[in-house]
Amino acid sequence: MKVSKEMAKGSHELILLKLLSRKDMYGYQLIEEMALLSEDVFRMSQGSLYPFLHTLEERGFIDSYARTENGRARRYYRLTTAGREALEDKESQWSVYVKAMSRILKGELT
Amino acid sequence: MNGWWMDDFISQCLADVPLGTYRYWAEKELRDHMESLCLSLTESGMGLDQARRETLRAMGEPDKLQKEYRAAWQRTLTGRMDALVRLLQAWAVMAVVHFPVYRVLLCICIKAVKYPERFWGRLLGPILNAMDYDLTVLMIELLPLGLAFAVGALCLGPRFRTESHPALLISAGLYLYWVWTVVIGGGYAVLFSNLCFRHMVEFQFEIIVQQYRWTFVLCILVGVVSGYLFERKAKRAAAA
Repeated sequence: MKVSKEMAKGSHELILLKLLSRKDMYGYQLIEEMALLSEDVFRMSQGSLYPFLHTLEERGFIDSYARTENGRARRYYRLTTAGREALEDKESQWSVYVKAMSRILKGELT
Repeated sequence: MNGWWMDDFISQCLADVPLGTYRYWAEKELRDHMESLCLSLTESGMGLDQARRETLRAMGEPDKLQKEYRAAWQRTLTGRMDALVRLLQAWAVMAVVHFPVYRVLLCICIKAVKYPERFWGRLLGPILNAMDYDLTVLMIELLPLGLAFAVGALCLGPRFRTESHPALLISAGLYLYWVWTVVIGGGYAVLFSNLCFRHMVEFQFEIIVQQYRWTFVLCILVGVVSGYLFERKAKRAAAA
């Protein structure tokens, strides 16, 4: 089952930062990993990925470098120190969000 | 794999991004991404034509992407170097437009200043004649200035961040124009007059000297007004 676009949109930043915390990747690789790890639940319009990555780069969370592989020059993205801090912050926010949401959905009383 | 099938899509996505480093890399990334996706689809058993169609579909709506790429490119325009380059580009366009228009109109208008009734007609002539001489020259100057800076702002407006007030660009251009007129323009204008209008040299030189003062006043005025407008707009945007 796929989640709605609006719901998934808010999590793209966290997903991309998390994926890049594991290893440096180029755009297509990021999309593939995202689909693979989430079992196709999280998919974004593939053309939108790059403006999104460029914005993260502009905010200083990631940076990019060119690497040639099999004669093909590609732009790889990697996490910066600021990006790592942002990721930690977002991860803890996310766990608070998930716990709160599951309490509501299960109907637990405080 | 031949990439003609993705050319239209890519150029549509990047239609609002001018040539430069950002566009170069964005194009490269899109092309590489689409080639990889198409290859992976054909390897999974899909026919080539269908794989291409599926790739184009998976990439998303070009109209929407066009806006996203433009916004992402605009966010990159924050460095000092970028600002300096854009300012110089603005100045160059404005100076190129302004110089011929201004010089030609000035030569025509000298006659208008000298003989207002003959030039402006019976209605406007006496009014202009009664006005302060400096003010008449200022009005004459406003026409080519307005034309040049309007063209400059129109040409360069799309290259600036959406939240930048166009008045900033015009104001910056005017300041630079003033510096340019004082440092280079005056000497160049005298030379130009010597070549074309020998009998008017002294008269024109007088006007040029006066223009320095009025252009400076104009620059300060536009600077203050545009600064106020920009601040107000920025505050509204921040509040929103």
